[in-house]
Amino acid sequence: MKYIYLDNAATTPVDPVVRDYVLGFLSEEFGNPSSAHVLGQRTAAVIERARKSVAEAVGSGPWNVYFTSGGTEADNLALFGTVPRGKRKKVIISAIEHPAVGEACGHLESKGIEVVRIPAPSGVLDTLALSSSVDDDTAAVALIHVQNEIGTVQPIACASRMVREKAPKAHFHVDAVQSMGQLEKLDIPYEVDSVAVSGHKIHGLKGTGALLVRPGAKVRPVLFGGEQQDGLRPGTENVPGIAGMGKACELLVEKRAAASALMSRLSRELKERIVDSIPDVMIPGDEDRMCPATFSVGVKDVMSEVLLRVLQTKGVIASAGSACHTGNNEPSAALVSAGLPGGWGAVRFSLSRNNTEDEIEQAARLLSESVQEIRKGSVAV
Amino acid sequence: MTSGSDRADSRRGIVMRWGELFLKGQNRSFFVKVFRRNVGTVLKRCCEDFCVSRGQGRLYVDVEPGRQVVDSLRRVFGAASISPVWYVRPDVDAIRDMAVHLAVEKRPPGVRTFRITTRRVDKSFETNSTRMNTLIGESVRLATGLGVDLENPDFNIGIEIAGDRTFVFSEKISGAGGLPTGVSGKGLLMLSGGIDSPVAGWLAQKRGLYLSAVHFHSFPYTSEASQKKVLELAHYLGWHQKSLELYMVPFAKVQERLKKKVQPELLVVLYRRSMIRIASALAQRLRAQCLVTGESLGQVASQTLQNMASIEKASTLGIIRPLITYDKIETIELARNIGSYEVSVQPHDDACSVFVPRHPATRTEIEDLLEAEEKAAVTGMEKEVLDNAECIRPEFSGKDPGL
Repeated sequence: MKYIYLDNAATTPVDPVVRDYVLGFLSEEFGNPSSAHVLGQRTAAVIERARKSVAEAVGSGPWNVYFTSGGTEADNLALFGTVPRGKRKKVIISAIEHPAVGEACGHLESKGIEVVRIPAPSGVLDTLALSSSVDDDTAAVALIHVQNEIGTVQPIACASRMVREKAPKAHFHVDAVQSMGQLEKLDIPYEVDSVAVSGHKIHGLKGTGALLVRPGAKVRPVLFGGEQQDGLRPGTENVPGIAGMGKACELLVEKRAAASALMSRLSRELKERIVDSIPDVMIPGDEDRMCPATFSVGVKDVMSEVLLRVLQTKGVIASAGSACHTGNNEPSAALVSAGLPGGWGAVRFSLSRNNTEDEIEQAARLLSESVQEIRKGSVAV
Repeated sequence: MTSGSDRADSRRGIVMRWGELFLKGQNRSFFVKVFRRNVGTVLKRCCEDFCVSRGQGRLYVDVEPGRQVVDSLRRVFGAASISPVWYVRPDVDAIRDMAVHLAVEKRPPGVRTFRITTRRVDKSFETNSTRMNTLIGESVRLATGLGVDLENPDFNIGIEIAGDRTFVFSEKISGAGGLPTGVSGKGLLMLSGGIDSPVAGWLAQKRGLYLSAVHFHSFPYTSEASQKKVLELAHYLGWHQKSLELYMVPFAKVQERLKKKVQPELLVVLYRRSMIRIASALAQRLRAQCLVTGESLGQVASQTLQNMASIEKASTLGIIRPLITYDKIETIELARNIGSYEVSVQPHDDACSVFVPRHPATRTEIEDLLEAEEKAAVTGMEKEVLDNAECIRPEFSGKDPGL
């Protein structure tokens, strides 16, 4: 069965150009980038080029780019590498962070760090509440850029300026794992000290990511055992993965404007069709702050897991909340805070530049069919 | 006297003794045939080269007695005990040499006393058992300095004299007991994915039932992962049989119909009755003579005495419930021994809980149930879901999953 893939926030298919480029590093270009000989120097140059591509794709440089095993490691490095900061022992995050930040902060909490979770009604951070929480004790503030389940874009410009003013020494981290592939421009303000990104959300390889750090911002290593990447992230670099991530970033920059416009148009159409054809549905999150490619649909009288399975049998792949923690039947804190009523199910649709108008039309029709069948209690085959 | 190098070359093998099978008078040869076939089935899955032949009260398994093979064979039902053995020439010197070798090299640490137990199957062998015990015992005593204790020895060296099949052994491992799987007929196990039903199946196999299994799933209300889990559980039961047919019945349709037509408190009992009717029909197609379930008295709402009676009335066949009087803790202990526990405790969705209210009825009257079934008219649908059942035959090879 050919599936309509609408779960790009979980992962994206590897771009064939990236795949072909990476293959070279699985055969003849195998040198260790730390080696002084020619093979090593060649792969070292590839990594340097990838660094530039990643920095360019994120924009608003200058950045020092440190490659990691993915977005989760980048977020963890940003937090554990900056907290505590001297006497400052407080971290501020939003209530709707991805677990890579949320659970990392839970761990910090168990070590005696104070963690403040700022509410996000309608899926958007309450900047006033943030402002009143930031003080001289604040070691770091971490914010998700595009929320991974509801797709709301967070006011990082306003938040980072506010933090810089009230706590100039605090580290400001942005989790841009979702936003990187979706927004036409990331517009990271200069006040942001670090940004986490991931390769497989932008048609690169799984197991690749990066932490971009402002020159001058202090981040301590959490791994030890080598001088690679200024000692901040030691260990022989994942050359194929990094090369692939660099290539994926180049493609992203090249296709971004068109892709973002396409995804915006398609997701607007999908939302309209859903709202028009299915009674008792809602789209959680502030309408004016939605990113182009990701949104959730709340559906009354339907269990998320069941809806997903029915959709899958009809050929549509979506997800319930974040793919990183499926299997949990409770709606996530993010969905609840964005206004999903109790007892409603929710599915998340996330698009990529590969989706077509035809797919969107079919997906909307199949969703409507599925919901009707579930509500009638006749989905069994 | 045999030289050391002969000892090293000495042919090894396994001897399996059957227990209860002796009691079966006229049926014995059938029982032994099935036992031998089951041993062959297990061996085929874990080793390449072997030969099984029948002796008096035992099977001779010609195979290198590695730990894994021995452990697999001791789980074959019908075996009372099993020993890895060393074959020797049927003469006193060769036997003595091997016995001394075992006593010196293979005795566990801390052993202080021993005995020799000789069984002379071949009565033409000139030295009788008592004399052999004395002769060999004396040599072992001199070689090791151990004391002799006929009543309660720390270490027993066994000798069997039977022409070509003359062997010496030092280990007698208890077998799984029971009757060879298959001698009592065929049963259909209702396999849910929980802890109890695989244990119930295993106990039924132990009393000689050859099993097929049926699983009721409620896709899309339950996940595909739950079906995979059931398939994995089937491996633990199928290992000891030639094969195991697992039927996956898509039950959601019946549940949807019942949910629409009857009061929610009755749903669990009605589901169970429907499953029993479908399983009975399937059992008849498969020529199985009974159903096997993991029910335990009073464990859940559908397992009260009244509800079990109501459920039983839906069956056209006898229902065997091996766990009926077991505590959960006893069942868990058995599940751990079988090896199925680790799989059973993985999270899964249960078909019986779909649409079911928090407090289902614990006492149901058969009249109410019949009336509800009349209203829901599920009979035709039950036939349809049975026709749509998928039959899976798991592949068995490599390592016994229960080890």
